[in-house]
Amino acid sequence: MRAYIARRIFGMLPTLALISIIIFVVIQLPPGDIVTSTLDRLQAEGVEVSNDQIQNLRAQYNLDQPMVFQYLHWIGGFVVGDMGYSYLYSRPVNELVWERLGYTLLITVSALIFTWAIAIPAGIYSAVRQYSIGDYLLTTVMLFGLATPSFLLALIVMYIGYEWFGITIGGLFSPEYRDVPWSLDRVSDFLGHLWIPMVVVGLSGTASTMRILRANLLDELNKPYVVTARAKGVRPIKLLIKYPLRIAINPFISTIGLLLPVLISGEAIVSIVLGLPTTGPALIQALINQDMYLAGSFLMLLAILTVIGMLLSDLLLAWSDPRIRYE
Amino acid sequence: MVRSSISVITLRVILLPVLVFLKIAGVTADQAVLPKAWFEPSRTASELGITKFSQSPILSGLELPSVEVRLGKDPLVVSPLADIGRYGGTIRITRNEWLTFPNVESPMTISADMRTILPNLAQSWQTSPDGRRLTLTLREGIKWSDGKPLVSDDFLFVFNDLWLNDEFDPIPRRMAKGGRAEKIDDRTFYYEFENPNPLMVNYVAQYGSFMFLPKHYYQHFHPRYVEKEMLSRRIEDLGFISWMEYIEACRRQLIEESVDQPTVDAFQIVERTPTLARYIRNPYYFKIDPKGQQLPYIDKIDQQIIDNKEVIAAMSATGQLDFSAFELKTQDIPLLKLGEQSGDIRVLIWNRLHSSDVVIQPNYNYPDKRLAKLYWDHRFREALSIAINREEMNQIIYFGQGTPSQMTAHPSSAMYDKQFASAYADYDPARANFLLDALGLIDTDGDGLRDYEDGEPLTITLEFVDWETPKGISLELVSIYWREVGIDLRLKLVDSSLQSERAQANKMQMTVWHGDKVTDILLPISPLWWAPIQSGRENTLWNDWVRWRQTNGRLGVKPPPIMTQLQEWADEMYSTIDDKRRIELGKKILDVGAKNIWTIGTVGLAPQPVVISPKLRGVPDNGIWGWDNRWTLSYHPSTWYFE
Repeated sequence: MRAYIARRIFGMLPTLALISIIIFVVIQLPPGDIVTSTLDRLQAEGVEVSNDQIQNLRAQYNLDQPMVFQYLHWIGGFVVGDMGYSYLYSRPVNELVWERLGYTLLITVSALIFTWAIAIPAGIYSAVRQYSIGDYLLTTVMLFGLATPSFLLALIVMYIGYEWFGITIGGLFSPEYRDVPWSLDRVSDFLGHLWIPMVVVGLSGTASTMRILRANLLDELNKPYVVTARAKGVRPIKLLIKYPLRIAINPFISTIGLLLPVLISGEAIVSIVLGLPTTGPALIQALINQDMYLAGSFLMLLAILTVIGMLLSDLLLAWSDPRIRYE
Repeated sequence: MVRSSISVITLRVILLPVLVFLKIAGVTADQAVLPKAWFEPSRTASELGITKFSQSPILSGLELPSVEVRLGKDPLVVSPLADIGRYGGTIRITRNEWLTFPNVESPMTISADMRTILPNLAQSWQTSPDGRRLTLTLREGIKWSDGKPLVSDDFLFVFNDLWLNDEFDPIPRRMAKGGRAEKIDDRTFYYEFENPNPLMVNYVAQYGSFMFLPKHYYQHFHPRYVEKEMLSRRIEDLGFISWMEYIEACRRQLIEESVDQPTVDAFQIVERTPTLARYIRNPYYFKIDPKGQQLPYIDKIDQQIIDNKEVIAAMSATGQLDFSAFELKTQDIPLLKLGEQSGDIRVLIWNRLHSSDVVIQPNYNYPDKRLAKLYWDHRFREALSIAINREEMNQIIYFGQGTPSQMTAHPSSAMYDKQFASAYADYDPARANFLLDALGLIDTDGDGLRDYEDGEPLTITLEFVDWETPKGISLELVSIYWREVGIDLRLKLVDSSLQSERAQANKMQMTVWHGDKVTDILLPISPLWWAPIQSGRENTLWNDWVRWRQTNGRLGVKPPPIMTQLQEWADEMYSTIDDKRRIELGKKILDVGAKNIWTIGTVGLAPQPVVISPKLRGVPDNGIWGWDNRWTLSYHPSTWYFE
């Protein structure tokens, strides 16, 4: 077991190295750089700019160095925990990332729990009661969630939240709780706001989760061992949970890692619409302005989270399914 | 990509159909009656015989010197819009209003007439007869919010130690080029330039709030005043990579440390987190109302930091903000009017400054000579201009509240002439067709669109950034109008950094920007719409001619005689010390511009929504909104109050 984990962790390193190169190159691909956006700001303030002077500015941002050097400079810092400096926000990237990543993870994880809390019971129900009215109803509702773009859903939910529940638009807190120390009231205010992004981000994943579970479970339910168990008089609920469900749920455990990037990118769009202080809006601003250190470090962190998520899901799978071997 | 898709499908789009039923009546710009005092130099307490001063109740009980001591020798008296206000309240705004609400102070201000410069922090100023020197005298007794006096050194610090420092400003600002600032005494100093620069006073009036900083605070972060190693250690401890970055971030109030700097503005920042900034009244603020009460009336500001403009519009419409305008657009008016019905907000309709909200710019230096030649033909430009139905655009986009206009000076300008605004602006598709026929642009392949004489299709690609003014919807209409006379206009929405780069590289066939710099304050400095004096992403008409001028003929292309003439006039307008001559030159430049239609204007003076709480008083029903007059400053936000 220990050797297996070690091998997997060792195998992650080349993957991450490759990802870091791709991130760096892709961010550099579009035209312009942080100097272009700085120039636009300067010009808006009435500064006249000539071509020779732009070079000076590029030099100040180390942009005149060769690409390889810029890459090594960034990744070298990243490895030792210094993610560099955001020219867009004029602050160290470390500060920006940590204050935002927490909210992103919170929303993502709660959305994941929400998805499963809804989709797994629904999937079980619609498999056990296949072609019943409940099956059709649940499937229809879930498919609505899948078909509605999340930003539109966010707008609708935000409207409902404001109109019916008086929840303020924008942000994760009411104005009076925005910057006070954590207290019980603040937590409840936070939870009162959290459900909007949680539902919006989570809902899009429910349909696929439910349908996959339903299909897997249907496969299992007709297998001889289930029939045998039923013939022997095992209680239906116990039978369902103990045998077919355990097998049917395997694909989910193995895709936890893959779910993470989907949720996080969904979270980005939803956060922009809802005005939440998470990584999504900052990442997009950074990408638009080509703020290399901020954008690159965000993406790199998300990549690391995904890779770790994959590892965790493999371990979970091994734990839940004794048939898996560590070879 | 994400940004554009979200801005297209917004609350507005969802709500627009609703409005068809609701019929948004009452989008009218009420003409506000502004107090006479707002057009004249503010008077001081002694001139008005005010001897008794009072302060906001929240200041009593604090360990501060008495209000008389804090106000200084002779405070400035500012009249409110109508009634005397009352103290108290916290105003809720977004970060985007940080330059519009906290009554930012400058040495001089611009009067509500948009052309007169009035004294403020400086009680007087003088331009030397040769136009090379501008001397300013600061009012006596003005203090920073920490009680230290405002002195000449605070101005010298920005000009000499920041703007002329090639680390801080690797690109010297136009207004600092060839200049230096010198001190005469603590309250008197001057800016001096190698060449005549009589318009420096306009810069100081319009841009002056950025021209001084509390030196006694910032000198601790400047290499001239701190030993090098100590400075780099200090900056590193703060988590910054250079002293320039620190000063810039602190000045722009981006960081927690910003609360350490004192200010002379009406409000001082006391808390700054990633999501919020809080301000409290500046106890040393140097302005009072006619009853001797120290301004501002409002005690505190809560600023939320919201990145998404759509969210700001939604918050404004639902009464979650007490003042909001900067991020609101003409297209938001229906949503806001809907919100107004709940009674939580008032929607004021101000007018944007832009003479034309959208300025269509043919690129006369485009590398494809055939297209450039076509642009250069007066008949072609005339045809494009008169093919546009500006009145209809005004109705569709601006609820009829804008003014159809070519790109010319603002009506407040001494250089304004009605004929400049209306030249070739009347809708006349028949004549447009006639002119295009005469140019030999005939539809040869029968697709309904005109082709070049040799049969090659004529298409024009217009690249634009949909930002600030309703450019996208305006251009959709323009492309329909042009198609009706057989011109194939292809629209291409691009990202702002791409547009910048394509502008630099002279790769755009046509582009648009909003037409600002149109008042007597900024037009004489940069008549960039009518003469090839500078180019950038907002102005891509004639890059090669500009380059020729900037490099003294080393790069670029020699401009035709009429352009050389315009450049000479622009230079003289900038450097003459004779105001009459300046106006005369301005009129000449605008006249040539109107006759030649260098750019094609659409609709200007467009409605700008300003959302306020129904309890907020002292805000004029109608005002002029723009960078030239710094949005609100002529309307004295420190006199606004909660009922």
